Amino acid sequence: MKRRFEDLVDTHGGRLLQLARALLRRNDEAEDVVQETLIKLWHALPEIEPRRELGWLLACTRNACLDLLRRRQRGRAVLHLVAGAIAGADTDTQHEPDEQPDAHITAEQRARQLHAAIAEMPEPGRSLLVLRDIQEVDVATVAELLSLTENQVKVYTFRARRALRRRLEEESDEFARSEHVA
Amino acid sequence: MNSHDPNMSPEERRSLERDLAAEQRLDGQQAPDDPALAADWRLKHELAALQPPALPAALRRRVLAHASRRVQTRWLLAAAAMVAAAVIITSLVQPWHSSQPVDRPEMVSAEQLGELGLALNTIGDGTRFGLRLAGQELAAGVSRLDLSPESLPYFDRVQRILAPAADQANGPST
Repeated sequence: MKRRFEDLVDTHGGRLLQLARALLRRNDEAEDVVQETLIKLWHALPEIEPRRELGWLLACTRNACLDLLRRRQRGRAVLHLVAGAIAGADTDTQHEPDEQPDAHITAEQRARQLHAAIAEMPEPGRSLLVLRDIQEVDVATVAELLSLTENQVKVYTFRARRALRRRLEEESDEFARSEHVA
Repeated sequence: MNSHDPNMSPEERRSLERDLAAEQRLDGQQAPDDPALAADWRLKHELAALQPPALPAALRRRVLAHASRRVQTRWLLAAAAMVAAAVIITSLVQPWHSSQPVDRPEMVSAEQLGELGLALNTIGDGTRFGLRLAGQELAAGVSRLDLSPESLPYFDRVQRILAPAADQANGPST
C-alpha cells in the first residue's frame, strides 16, 4: 500500500497543487490543502478503487479549497478594513507588478499571467479550465467531480475559456493603450 | 444541462447547442476557420502546454513521513497487543504455582470444616442408599436365575469327564 501511495503522490501531487493554487491564490494555503488531502488519501486508500484515485483526490482538494474560501469569505468583513494592504499580500507571485501583458514576455511570465487570469474566474469556470484545459482530465471524471452532466462540462468549459480569452485581450488592449499614451 | 429540458427557453437551447458544437470543433488538431474559434483553439492549446508544478520536496517528505509513521505505529500497536495478551495468559495460568511448594499450611476454618463434614455425610448417605438400592435390584435378579448344573456351559463335557470316575467308584461295589 505504501508503494501505491508513493506513486499517487508523485503522479498527482503536482496537479493537486496546481488546482489548489488556482482556487486559493495562496501558495502556503494551497500546500496545506494538498498535504491534508494526501494524508487523507493515505487513510482512505484501502477503500478507494484503483483508477478512481484521481477523481477522489481532485474532489478532496477542491472541496477543501472551497471550504477555505468560504471561511475566508466569512472573515471578509474584518479583512475589508485592511483591504488595501491585504490586496497586495493576499496574492502571491501571480500578482506581481511585472505581470503586465507584453509582446515579448517570456513563457514563464505568460504562464503566470494565465494562472492569474484563471484565478480571477468565477466557479465552476475556474475549476473547469484547470481540470479540462490544463490538466486534461477526462470529461466523465470532471462531470462527476463537479456534479454536472458531460454536456454541461463541455459547454461551461467553452464559455469559461472564451471569457478568459476576452479578459486577456482586454488586459492586452489596456496595456497597449497605456503604452501608447506613455 | 440537457437540450431537451422542457424548462429551457428556445434561446437557451440554441445557445447551448451552439456552444456545445463549438467546443467539439475545438477538439480538432487544426485551428477552425472562424477567427473567434481559432483564438479559442489557440488558448486551449496554450493552457494544455502549462505544466503542473512539481510537488515541493519538503511537502512530499512530510506526507511520506506521515505514512511511514502510521505503518510504524501499527506495528507497535500489534506488538503491544501481543505483549498484553501474553501477560494476561501468563497471569491466568500461573505455571510457577504448580512447581513451587506451598510455604505455609493452609488454615481451615470451622465453617469450612463443617461444610466438608456435611459434604462427606451427603456423599456417605447417597452411597449407602445407592448400594441398598443396587442390592435390592441384584437380589431380585439373582432369585430369577436358573441355577441347575445343566445350564452351565460345557456341562456335558464336564459330565463325560467326571462320569467314568463315578462309574469306577460305583463298579466294584456292585
